[in-house]
Amino acid sequence: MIALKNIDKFYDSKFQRTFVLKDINLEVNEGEFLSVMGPSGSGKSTLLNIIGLLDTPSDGEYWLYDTNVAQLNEKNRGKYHRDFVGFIFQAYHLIEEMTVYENIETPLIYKGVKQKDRQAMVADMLDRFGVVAKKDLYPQQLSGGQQQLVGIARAIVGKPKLLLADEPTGNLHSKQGEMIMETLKELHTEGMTIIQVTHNDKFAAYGERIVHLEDGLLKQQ
Amino acid sequence: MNILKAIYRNLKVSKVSTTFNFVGLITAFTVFILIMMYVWTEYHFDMYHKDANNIYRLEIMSPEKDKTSVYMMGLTKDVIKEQLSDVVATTVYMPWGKWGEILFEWETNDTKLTSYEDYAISDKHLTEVFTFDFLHSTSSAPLSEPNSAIVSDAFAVKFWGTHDVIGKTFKTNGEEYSVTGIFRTPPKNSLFNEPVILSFPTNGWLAESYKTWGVVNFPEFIKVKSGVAVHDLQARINDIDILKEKHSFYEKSGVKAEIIARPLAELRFAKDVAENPLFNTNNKSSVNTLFSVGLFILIIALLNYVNFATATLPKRLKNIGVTRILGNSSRQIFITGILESVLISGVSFFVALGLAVAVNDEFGIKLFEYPLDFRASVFVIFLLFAVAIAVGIIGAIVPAFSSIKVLPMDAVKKRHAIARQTSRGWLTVVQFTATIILIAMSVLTIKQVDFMKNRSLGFDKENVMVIYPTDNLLKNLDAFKTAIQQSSMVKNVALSGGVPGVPSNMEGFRFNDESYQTWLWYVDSKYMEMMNFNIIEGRAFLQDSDAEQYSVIVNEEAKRKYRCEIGSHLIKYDREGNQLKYQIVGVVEDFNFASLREKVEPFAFRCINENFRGWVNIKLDTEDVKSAIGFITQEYNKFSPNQPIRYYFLDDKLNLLYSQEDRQIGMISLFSMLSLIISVLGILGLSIFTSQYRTKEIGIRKINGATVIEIVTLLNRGFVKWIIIAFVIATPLAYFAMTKWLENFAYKTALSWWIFVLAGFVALIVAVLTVSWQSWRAATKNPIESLKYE
Repeated sequence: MIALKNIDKFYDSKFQRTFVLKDINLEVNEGEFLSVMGPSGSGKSTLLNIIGLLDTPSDGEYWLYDTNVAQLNEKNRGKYHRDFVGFIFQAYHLIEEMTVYENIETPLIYKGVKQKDRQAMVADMLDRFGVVAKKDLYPQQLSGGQQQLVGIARAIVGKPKLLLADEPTGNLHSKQGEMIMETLKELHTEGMTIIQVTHNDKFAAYGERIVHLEDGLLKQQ
Repeated sequence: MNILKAIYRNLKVSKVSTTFNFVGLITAFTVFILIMMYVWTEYHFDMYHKDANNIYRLEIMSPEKDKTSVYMMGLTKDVIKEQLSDVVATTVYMPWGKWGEILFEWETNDTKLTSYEDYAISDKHLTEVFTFDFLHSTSSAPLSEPNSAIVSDAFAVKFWGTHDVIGKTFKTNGEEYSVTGIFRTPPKNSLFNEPVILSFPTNGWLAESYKTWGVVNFPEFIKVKSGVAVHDLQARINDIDILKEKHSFYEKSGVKAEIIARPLAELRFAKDVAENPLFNTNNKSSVNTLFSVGLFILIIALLNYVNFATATLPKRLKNIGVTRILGNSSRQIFITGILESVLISGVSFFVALGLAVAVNDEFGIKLFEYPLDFRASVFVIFLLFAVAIAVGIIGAIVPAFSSIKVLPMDAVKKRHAIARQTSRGWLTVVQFTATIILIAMSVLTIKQVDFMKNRSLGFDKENVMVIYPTDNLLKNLDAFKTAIQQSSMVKNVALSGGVPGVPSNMEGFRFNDESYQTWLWYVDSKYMEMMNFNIIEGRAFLQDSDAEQYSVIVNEEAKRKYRCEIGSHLIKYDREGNQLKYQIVGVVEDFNFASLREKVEPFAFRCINENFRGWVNIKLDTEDVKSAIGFITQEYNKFSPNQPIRYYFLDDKLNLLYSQEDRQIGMISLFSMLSLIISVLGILGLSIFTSQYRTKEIGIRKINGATVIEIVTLLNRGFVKWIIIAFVIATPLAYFAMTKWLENFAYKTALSWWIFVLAGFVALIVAVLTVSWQSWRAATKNPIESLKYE
């Protein structure tokens, strides 16, 4: 499904070129659960951003199925975000001024889903994650774990093919973290392709395959 | 629907900014609407007449005079109409009520009533030149019949309680008139604010003098065909032989007098007309200044708006970034941003419009001389609405572009330059420059008016009661004088042909083979002493001496200009051509017989020993003015029973000369306060944001030992710097503006340095208090909480 070929990401300053990612070659199959591990500063988030089309590589090819999407235009990128991929962040990034319900609902609005259908889909999510009672609360009123659950709900409500998670358990303690990872495992069992970035061994092991990123270079295992 | 929800959410993101934006915009728009409506009305006075662009007023421009006169010789307009085929109609319009209202007597429901009314005299061609909205009229030229009159609807209701008044009669000035037309009261911004217009008399002095060349008395208007150029028109008018001949009287050292045709559109601002109180005028520069102030305030509010929009951007960028990751398109974000802004400015505009209409009645008269007519200028309101929307769009453009340029991940992680821009120094500078200038102007205006009202005019104006003379009173004047002087409350009584503050009589003299026109008052022998005029050379008029009727006392300016002396003779010719000689017996110190806007012109007093038709001046010598008035009224009624007493106090009347400036004070003070409020809003908002952004920094400083005072000072320092820069820029600008404004006055107050310092000081204090308040709140927060915030 995903093939990265010779991906480079660098920044040029006055005297030097700093490589964040160097010659990355990576393939991800549909339905895989991949963990990308590495220390801080190794470029994990950048890699995830490139895969999620939130960043463009300086060089190389990014093949999604049989299209090179490395330099996709704005409109198509929007489509990609709406229809294909869902994001989970370490800092959840929920919109504080919206209720739990509205947060989960948001991607569906951009997809153009009708009100009735939206209600049904959001209700499903609330149910699944056990946060029905909290649907009219604001993110600040939830615990970290609950916020992340909402984040996941938001990310998958639109039934994306691909789920990208950037340190999903980074702000949570181990018990909450486990709960999140269990949820991700469940989703994987249901057929979702998941790529997560983490520096926690235990949680990385939830994935089928682990790759290591160090100083911008990929080491397979 | 979703866009509205999104907008509502965006507004909630920063409630502070949203509130300030609304308050600021509503305030600014209200003021903006009021000012622009006023300016538009001022520039469109009388344009409601049909063919307004083709109507002109005739005036005479005499050589060596800086003002024209509206008094034409009667037959001028007839000659012009006869000889110039381009002239389609002419009329005479004399708003004589402005010299003094006259008594009207009428009957309604079998009761006889009387009232003093403002009035005008015109001829049957009035309706050919000007447009009146008649409710009823006997014909298209209702003033054709002798002794006919047309009245306003307000007048009809006042007199007879109905609009059905055709045929009703009233008596005035010894004649009976019959109503032949009732018209809707013209808009407030009109030449015609007299409620009753009498037809031109067919006999009597007025009718005779109309036909006499050599008598200038008649304001005249002409209407021409479309497409006539004014210069061409004037040239042809001045080329008419008989007019050239009759106006040669004005010739001076080879320079002829000229007849001017002044377009209707320019009458409102025609300042260089000698008989200005006859026709309502206003200062063009004041109106233009007000226009600038209006724009100013709008710009300040717009700057505030942009200020807040950019300051709240980082917070909103985060959300925008998140939604973009969730699939929102740039186009949608941009449109939402603009829409949000347009919504805010649109809603603010409507609230402001409501406010403007609400305060119009109360403030309209206080500030503008008349309440604004919103219904008549709907077109202007639409225009202003468009401006408001434009403001909304302009305010949103830059932030909207920023919001789509920043990459979503950067927005989310707040990794962009915008987050770091917290000081909008130059915006503060502009706002406070405007505020300081306005404050300085209001201080100056107050100072100038105070100066004019309190300046010694060269005579005593206090406690002088002036009574309008009626025929009966004049017949029994001596008895009246004796009667009232019985009371100790009355110090003195004297007659005068003129009163300070009311422009009146001019007469021509010859001296040293030159012709001069001088302001001249006839007075009795007691007047000058009673009013305490300062005679600096020669002597005063002798009491009760018939010989004095050939004496004149001139003022210093006359002496200077005509180069005459005590003992010089001024020559006049009577109707038969006999020479009359008047000897100068005294010189009086220059005094201000008009407003202090004017320079003192040559003036002369002549003494008349017997009672003549003039103002009865009574000098009171008591604190109990009410009793004095009561007593005098009582005595008056004994001698003039059927005509109620009409009087005023001289100092009050003189203060009225400055009613325009009083209004200006009101306006400028209001606007400087507004400017201050808007600037304070700006600086308050900024300091809130700044302290929010620097919360972490403040927390750390406190942990490291900084005191609250030190932190407040730290946060203040940035703002104080901008205020000082604003002061430096504002001072020369204010100085320039103030100097220009003072040019309107012949007698000016000093442009003291403390005015500027005061203005700057006020601005500084207000700014410092505002910022300190906010900084203090930020500085007293528990530092641990500030650090947790991040």
